[in-house]
Amino acid sequence: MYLTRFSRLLPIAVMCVVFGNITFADTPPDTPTPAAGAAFRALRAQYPDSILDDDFKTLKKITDSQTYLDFLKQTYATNTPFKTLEEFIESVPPPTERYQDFLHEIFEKPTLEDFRGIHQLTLVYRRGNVMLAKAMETQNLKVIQAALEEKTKAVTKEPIRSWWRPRFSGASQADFMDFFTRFEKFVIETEKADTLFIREQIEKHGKDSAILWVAIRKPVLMGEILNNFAKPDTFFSWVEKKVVLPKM
Amino acid sequence: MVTVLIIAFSFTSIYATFQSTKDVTAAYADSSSGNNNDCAWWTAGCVAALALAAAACLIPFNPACPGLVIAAAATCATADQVCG
Repeated sequence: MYLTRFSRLLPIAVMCVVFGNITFADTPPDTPTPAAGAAFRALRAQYPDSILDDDFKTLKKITDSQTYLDFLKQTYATNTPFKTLEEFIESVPPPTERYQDFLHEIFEKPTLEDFRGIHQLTLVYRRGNVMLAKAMETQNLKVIQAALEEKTKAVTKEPIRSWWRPRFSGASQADFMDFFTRFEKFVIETEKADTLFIREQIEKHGKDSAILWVAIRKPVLMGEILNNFAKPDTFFSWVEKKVVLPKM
Repeated sequence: MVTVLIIAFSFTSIYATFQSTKDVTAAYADSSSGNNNDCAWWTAGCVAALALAAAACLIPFNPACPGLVIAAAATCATADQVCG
């Protein structure tokens, strides 16, 4: 039994050795670090008015600002240098603690590639869920089908496909059914956790400061927000669960 | 009256699409335990499953929607594996 437990922990231990003492993105401590607090104060001083204007213009300026990017560089270890939030998201290691329980359900010994692959797939699925919710409001069959394709064909497109195909070599449709059933539930749990975090920030700080805290404490989530939502109203509908996602 | 007719027609069309693609998808699901490794077969299955899922998700709060999205993902993943 202990051997099994040890073998499950081994890949994580190996990754800790590989990455050394780093902070994974999107795994904020319960209370903000002094550096996070300083970044928040500096950004709020630069942008004292409402951050949540139409089309997230100010929020995009903030996440493009040198103050914000310098904070990310000082706080999060990345595989390659970055100059934008998008590049940061591509180069930051996946948040292992979010995926480790799920991956251990699927693979006996998840590798670093598994963490990277499932992270990419999760981001695509979360985007697909937002697209699907919006599409369902349109009541347009073609729009819904396009949103569904985002999800259902995610594993057939690069870069996910290169990880997926060899990892699931020889799997049957029944195996895939099992995987996607578990995966859909897992993705919804990650969405619930993130919307809960955002709601807590709103309750504590109000909407404008809350979104800035999200940018500082969960930069990958911030990138998803800017990538998946065109307007603050739609985003807050998602946060408040007014955008109803199908229950898996 | 016209509105009622349009709604009735829409639901009938959706139901017809639903039933026909449901049969196709069921056939593909059954074949997963067999030896059918034909790329064209699974590719067509992927298209059919996707159409079925989209038709199901068009109906608000349809409980069939999530399961069919999963079935479509599984079928398309199978197609990709089989086609290489």
